[in-house]
Amino acid sequence: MTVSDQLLEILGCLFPEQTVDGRTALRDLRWDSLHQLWMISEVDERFGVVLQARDLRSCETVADLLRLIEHEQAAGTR
Amino acid sequence: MSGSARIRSTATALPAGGEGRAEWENGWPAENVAATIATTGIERVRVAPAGRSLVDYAATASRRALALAGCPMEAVDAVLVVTQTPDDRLPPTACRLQEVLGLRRDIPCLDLHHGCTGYVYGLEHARLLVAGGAAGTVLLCTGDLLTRLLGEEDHTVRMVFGDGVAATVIVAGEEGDAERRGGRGPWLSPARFGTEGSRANELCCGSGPGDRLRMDGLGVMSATLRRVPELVAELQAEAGAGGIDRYFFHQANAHMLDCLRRKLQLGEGSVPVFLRDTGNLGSASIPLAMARARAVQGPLGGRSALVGYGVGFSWAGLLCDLSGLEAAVVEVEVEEEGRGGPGAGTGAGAGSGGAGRRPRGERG
Repeated sequence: MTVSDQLLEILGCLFPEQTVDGRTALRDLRWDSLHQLWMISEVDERFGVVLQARDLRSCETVADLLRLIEHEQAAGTR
Repeated sequence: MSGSARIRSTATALPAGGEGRAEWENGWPAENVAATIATTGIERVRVAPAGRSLVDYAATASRRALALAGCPMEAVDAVLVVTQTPDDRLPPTACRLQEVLGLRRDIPCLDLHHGCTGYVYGLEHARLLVAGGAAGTVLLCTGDLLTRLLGEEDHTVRMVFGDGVAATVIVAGEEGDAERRGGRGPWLSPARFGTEGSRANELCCGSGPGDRLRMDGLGVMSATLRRVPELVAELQAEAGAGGIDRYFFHQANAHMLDCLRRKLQLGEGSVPVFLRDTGNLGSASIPLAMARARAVQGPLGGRSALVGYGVGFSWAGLLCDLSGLEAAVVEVEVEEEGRGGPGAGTGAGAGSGGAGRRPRGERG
């Protein structure tokens, strides 16, 4: 399962009633701080990287989020 | 090190009253309240009424903890209070507590300013006093009346933080017990610490009259998931082949504890979670969890890790043997109508009444 597929799976669990793809704006999902908390822990568990809060907040779309995770994976969590 | 120290007893004093779902739904959408409770695991927080001071709860907890330890007041050789909500800017809360409890005059009474990591800080200071021979018995009080720092409308913190104070009695270990204990390690090991002051603003409260506690929950979560596993790995290495039987983490919220447990691949039974009906009690959360676990599981044999994290951002941990721990939780009933008048809850109120202000209706 690719990182992209797994990310869409996480978002599918967080927003079961909405259709999510790479172009989806996180704002349109009513993405709040609780969703972000769950995203940090899910990303940590699946990909072994702990996202910084400020980086997560700067993401506007699902594609931004995917790029952030891939970037952090490449850099390794400090 | 000239001697060893051990945790003999602990008792936590909690306000009997508080607020929960019904109060939170009066002002916030029910669906948001439900989603928050599902994440935090906190259904109710305790709130000290206006007539109560930090010293009231510290004194109640101290009396119970000292009684459990079989320790008379005159045996206390030092008092440490860890808090971020002292009744007064000065004097130190520990001095008020000495008077209320009627402790000896020839003892040091000191406050330490720390939060969720404060229990480990307090234990390390107590251990050093005992190990260095300066004290045979140390009374350590940890906790806050945190709800007094919370904004009325800030449900992200109102649904998380509660009031409560724990007292812990630390005594000298038996002579030569290090040898007798074989591979079980010391009763109370030296603590390990970490600080990342660049994150200080993620959980903070200014000192101005209108300032309220502010928390960036995401930032705290991110820092915790980075730093606490590193600390736990160090403690596991220190424990060696004997391993660690249970992990008393600071009880921040259920989601955080679950994330730590899964990330560290620990069994559910080894990570006690006790916050559903109290909320996050800051530096009192670990000793409360110890007392609750003692009540549910019986004697806490084997090796335990105590791990705090939070305000600072800071983290700290140590290993200990709690097999002989005596513990209790005391609920302090709301005062009768009209007893807690204006000005109560200030240091003057706490100090002037002395033992006469002993909370009524204690039960444990």
